[in-house]
Amino acid sequence: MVPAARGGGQSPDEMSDTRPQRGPEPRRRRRRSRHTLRLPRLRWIALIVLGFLLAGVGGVVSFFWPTITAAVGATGQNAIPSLHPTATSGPATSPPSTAPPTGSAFTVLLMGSDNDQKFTNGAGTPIFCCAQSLILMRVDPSTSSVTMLSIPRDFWVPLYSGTGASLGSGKVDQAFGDVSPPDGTNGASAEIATIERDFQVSVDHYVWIGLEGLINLINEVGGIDIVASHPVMDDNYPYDVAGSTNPNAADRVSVLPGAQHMDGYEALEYVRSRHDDLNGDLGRTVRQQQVLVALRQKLAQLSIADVNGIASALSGQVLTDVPLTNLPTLLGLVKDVESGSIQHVFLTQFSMGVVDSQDVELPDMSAILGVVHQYFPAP
Amino acid sequence: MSRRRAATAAILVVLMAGFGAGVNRYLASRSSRVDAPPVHNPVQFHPQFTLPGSIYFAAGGGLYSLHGSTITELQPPGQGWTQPVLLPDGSALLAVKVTTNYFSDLYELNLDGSIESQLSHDSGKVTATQLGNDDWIAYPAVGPGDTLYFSYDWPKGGVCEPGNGYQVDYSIWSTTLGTEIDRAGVVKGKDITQQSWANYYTGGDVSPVPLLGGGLVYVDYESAYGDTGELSTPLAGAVPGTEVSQIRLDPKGGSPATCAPGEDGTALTQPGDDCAQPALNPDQTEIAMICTPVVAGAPSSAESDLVVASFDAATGTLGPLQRQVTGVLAASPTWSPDGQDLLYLAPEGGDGYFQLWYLKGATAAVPGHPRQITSNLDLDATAAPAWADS
Repeated sequence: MVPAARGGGQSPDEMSDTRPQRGPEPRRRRRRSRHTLRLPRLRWIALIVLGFLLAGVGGVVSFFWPTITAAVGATGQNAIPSLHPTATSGPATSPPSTAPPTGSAFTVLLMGSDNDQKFTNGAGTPIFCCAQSLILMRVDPSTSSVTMLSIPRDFWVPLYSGTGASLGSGKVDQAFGDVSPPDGTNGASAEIATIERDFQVSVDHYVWIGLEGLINLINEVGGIDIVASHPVMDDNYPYDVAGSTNPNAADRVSVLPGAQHMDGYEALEYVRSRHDDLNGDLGRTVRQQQVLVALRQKLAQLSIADVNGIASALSGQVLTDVPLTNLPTLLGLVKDVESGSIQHVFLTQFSMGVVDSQDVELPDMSAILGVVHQYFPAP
Repeated sequence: MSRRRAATAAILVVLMAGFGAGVNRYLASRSSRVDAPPVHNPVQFHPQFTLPGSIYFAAGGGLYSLHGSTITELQPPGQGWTQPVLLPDGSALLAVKVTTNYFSDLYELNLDGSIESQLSHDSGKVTATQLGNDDWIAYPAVGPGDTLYFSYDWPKGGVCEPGNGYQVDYSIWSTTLGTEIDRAGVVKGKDITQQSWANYYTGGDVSPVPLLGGGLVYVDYESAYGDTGELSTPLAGAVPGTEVSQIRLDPKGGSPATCAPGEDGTALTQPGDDCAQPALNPDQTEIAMICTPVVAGAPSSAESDLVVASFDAATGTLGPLQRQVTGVLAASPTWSPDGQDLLYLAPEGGDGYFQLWYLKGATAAVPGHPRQITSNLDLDATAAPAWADS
């Protein structure tokens, strides 16, 4: 029986007329039906794939959440001053610093210090101090090579703020602490401005790491292996980390010579002690570069499993202008650089002197600029 | 939405959530390649192969003995114990106990680890602002006539600047075993003799090895760059600020105190070899040491080689250096009682905690392949093990 409603009240003739056409009609319907079903199905598939993708991203984000939260406060901190050194020591007129194109060589200023903000002075004001270790690093991704140049912290030089204003003269590491308001980004900005202008180089990025951060980082990578080149002895080693409550407290240090495994605190003692070093601060900078090379070896072995631990170790102890998104690229570079392709440069062109009752190193800047520009292009 | 579709959607949502959780767990399951392996308690470790006699070593601030395949704790870890050495007759041990960041003291211990006596009193019992009254003592060694040699961070300030708290290098001193070593004794020269005068601000003289015929072999440090210390010309390739070590022979022992120190005895090795940690075989005809080749333009080598050379104490000559183990961070060699084999320390798997290694036929032109004795222990690489024949 053919339902009347379907026939629409057609006559039997019409019905018979339509009979032969009945065959294609359902096919058309089927085709239409297939067509109308295919799009939703594609949409469904797309939605399902998207859903799985989002779930996967959610899984990744939740895993790296400690890293993301720690990194957001520490990375991308733009402290590169909007000035570059000029040929003369006059006011800065060069264009603002811009990150170098991907793949080209760039310069990083590594600063290691304790800003001592955990301590207060007699008036109860938090202390804000200097960048005790300064290393300019030239990285060339095209050749996987690195040049490290240590700047002795006692160099007596003109100091500048992040805006290029003169801060008078002082030890080169004091620019970090002579800023207002005293904070790490301001300090880094002033230190970069000082080094850019005094040493006629262009700093593309900076990384500041606190003393506790270095300890934690080395501990997190399981310690480092070092050949201590000589007994490192010190009766006046600063005891200002690891729970110290007195910025002027001292410890005694005796690092015995030879190959050994060092944890973070031992490594810090090795790189920071200087009082009984024949070569003074210069000897210390050599040890600092030695530890950096040993640390690079460990960082080159990092895997995904280490990321959150490293982030926790450095939490609050690192500042950098390097965006979070560029960190994987930089870590990749760390892996590519072989120890043999690292050049070590130390500045010896200075004489000892006393200024403002301070023992200082008086740099021969014309000789020093000659050395610096062998490895770091003038801006 | 039909019930079927709703059910399908619910299942998909669950699957997606599961997938997200799975990704999270997969990442969490990835293992670190930099984490140091867990450090085991030495007494729970049993070596794969055994060596004759007894071996005494320091690990994690404790002292241990290895006899056969059994490790026994002599002094508990975390107490600062290091550098165990045997008395010449093998009847007792000397060892240093370090109170980190303050001072160290020398003790005599029975072979079971019990303390026989405290030989030095180096704590000034002072406040944090008077640390200069504390002292470091290290590298004990006993020679003929029960003469005890050791490194001591005296005289502070050297000969010419007494009391200079920045110049706190080790010098080598001697006394008769059993004499109480303390600051008063040193100041008054009571039965305690200074044997070497360190090059100022180098860290000082370390690792005394008494000679059977008198005198000693020891290690001193100097600038590699030539502008300070003993070297008159820079060492080729050395970067400014580095120091190198030399093994020296002081046949007489003792030197006059002068303001131009550093000329004690005869240099056995060249500055460019950067050799240290000497160990003499029982008849003192072979010397084992660690040499760190100077790498041009680098602050330090990433390897330290185990080197052996023939030695003639009478003429003060050393044979050609045979680099028996290279490409590793070798440290603190010790001869077997028969003088044929060596124990030394080196990291497991290239880096990490130091383990005990054994080199058979150490003086042969082609020695045996090094064999690792311990695993996953944290041995003190600045403390040579002591090897007794029983």
